[in-house]
Amino acid sequence: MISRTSQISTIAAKEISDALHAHLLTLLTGFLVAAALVSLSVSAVALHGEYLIYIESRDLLISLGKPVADLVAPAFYPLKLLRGFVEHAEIIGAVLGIVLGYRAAALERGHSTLALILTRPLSQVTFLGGKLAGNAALIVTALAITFIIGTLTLSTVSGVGLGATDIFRITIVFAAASLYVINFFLLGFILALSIKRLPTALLVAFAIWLSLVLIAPQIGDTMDPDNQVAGGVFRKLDIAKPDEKEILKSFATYETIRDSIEQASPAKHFERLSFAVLGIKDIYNGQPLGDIIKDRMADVWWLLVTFAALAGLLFLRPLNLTRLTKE
Amino acid sequence: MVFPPPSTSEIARLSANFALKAGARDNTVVLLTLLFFIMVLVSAYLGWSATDTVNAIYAKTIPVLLAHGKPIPPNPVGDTPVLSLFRNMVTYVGLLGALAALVLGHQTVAADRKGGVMPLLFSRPVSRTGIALGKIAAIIFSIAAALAAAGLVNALTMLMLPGLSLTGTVWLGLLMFYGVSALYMVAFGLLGAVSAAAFKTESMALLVPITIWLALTFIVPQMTANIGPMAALNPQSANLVVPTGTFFDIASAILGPVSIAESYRYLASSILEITPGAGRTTVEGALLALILANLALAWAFILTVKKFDACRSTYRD
Repeated sequence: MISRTSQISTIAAKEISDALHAHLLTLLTGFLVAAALVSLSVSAVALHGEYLIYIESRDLLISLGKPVADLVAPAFYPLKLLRGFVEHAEIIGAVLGIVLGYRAAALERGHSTLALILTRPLSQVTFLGGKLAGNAALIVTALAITFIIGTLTLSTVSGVGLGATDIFRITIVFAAASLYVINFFLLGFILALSIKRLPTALLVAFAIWLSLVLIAPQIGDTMDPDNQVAGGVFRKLDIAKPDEKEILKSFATYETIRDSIEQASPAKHFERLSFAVLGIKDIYNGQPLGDIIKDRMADVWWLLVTFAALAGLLFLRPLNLTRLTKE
Repeated sequence: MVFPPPSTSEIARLSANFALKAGARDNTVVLLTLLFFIMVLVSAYLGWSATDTVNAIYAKTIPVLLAHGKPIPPNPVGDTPVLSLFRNMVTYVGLLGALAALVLGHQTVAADRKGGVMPLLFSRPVSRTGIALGKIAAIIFSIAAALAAAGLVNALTMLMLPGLSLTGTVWLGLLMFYGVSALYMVAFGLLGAVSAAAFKTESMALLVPITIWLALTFIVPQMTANIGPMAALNPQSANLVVPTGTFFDIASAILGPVSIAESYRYLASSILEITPGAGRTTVEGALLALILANLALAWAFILTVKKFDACRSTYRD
């Protein structure tokens, strides 16, 4: 009798081999890498443009007699250039997860091998575990390639060598991105194993992706009272920060609803964690990593709990093979 | 007795009729259209909520300003253009509207392919151009009907909100916004139809246009105007002052004409008066880009239907 571990690794290896054979993973990883590179390069070009404007303004001020000592040089944080990179991982990474999840189920359903496999001495948990392990390995590899290329590009375009702390911060974001994309893999996989028609499963997964990744954060952002008037409502009314906080206390329920809508989005948790760790969010810039992680622990838990819930749903829900036969 | 073959217009009418019925029966099309409508309602609520919250903040601010001896500025709601209430619609049309249109366009062709109609149909003396034109008409009609209903919801919202100055210009603006939205959604409907006619499997026919939509929405705007992926969702980003430099000049010149997501956002934001307008494109340029995209995709669809190999028309999952 073959051990369960051996069965899982065999299924996982088959999954990896199939994905590489179909070129789908290569195509999507290439798309993610291209998007990340575009984002990094464009950010660097834009930053260079701003730098030239600064030099021009500085020279003008000096020529007008302003003492050099009075001029404050702008601070440069190379990790801030990763903003678009993280956002692409958030949007396209989720699509990569959904497509891999869909493919993992469609492959068996399309060849009508699902029922056949489960007639063998192989438990459903082992079969699904093998699929999950194989695809998790693919996702981690695809993201590792993207992050390595991104880090090398960042170092080149910024002209600033990255320190060990910077690399460690990027590694934390890579780990969070892997968990985030695996969550979307589970979503695509569960739907493709539950819905009778495969194309419908794919579209339902995309509708959920649209709602959670793109629409929910946008609603939360729009509901922010300060975003409802160009330039900010409080600035327009000439209200100081302490008074603003006092006035906002009357809108506690409104703020709770707004925050809850944002909280419903796993993308927002990944984004908040990543922006904090990389110092993209100004209040975290220059803060020790330990303090940042402690402050953003809720986001880490959200990602972990979502994974546990989806994995639980995958393993505990029995497969309805009659429903999943090829049409 | 020999019956003359039906004319191209008769074929187009029959084809449109069938495509409309098939679309209405398809659960996915219905689901996505429903989701789009929910978002139209959400947008209307957010518009109302925006006005209501700013009014409430203004009321709470007056005593604070008086206590500090500061002058009372006018309510910022009065400075906000009426149509900007619906600024979220720009995002929802760009995301859900485009996806629903894509699936609808796909379905108009997929229904025939899955039903095995193509070999039978193309063995008869029928005009393939007529069939393609009928499907294009069905896509345009379905999208126009959905947007007309969405426009009605927006119109009712404006009528229900107190204190809005509803001039003829406002109504014309609403009409223009939905006209531009129709142009954008029809382009994606046609893209879905082209893919459904061109690919062998349904999954690829859905994945390829979704990837194109992703690139147009999130990657191209970054190359032409340094608009980040998440900022691309915000209609206010449409009119940002674009960064200057050779890179952006070249990227904008090359990619600008195909960057229809950017063109749509620019046009819609200008019509809804979300921001004053300071982007690289112009209203005429953006409109031309959308019209040309529709014409090119319609032409590509007619060509794909004409070259469609009916003997190999099976459509796998």
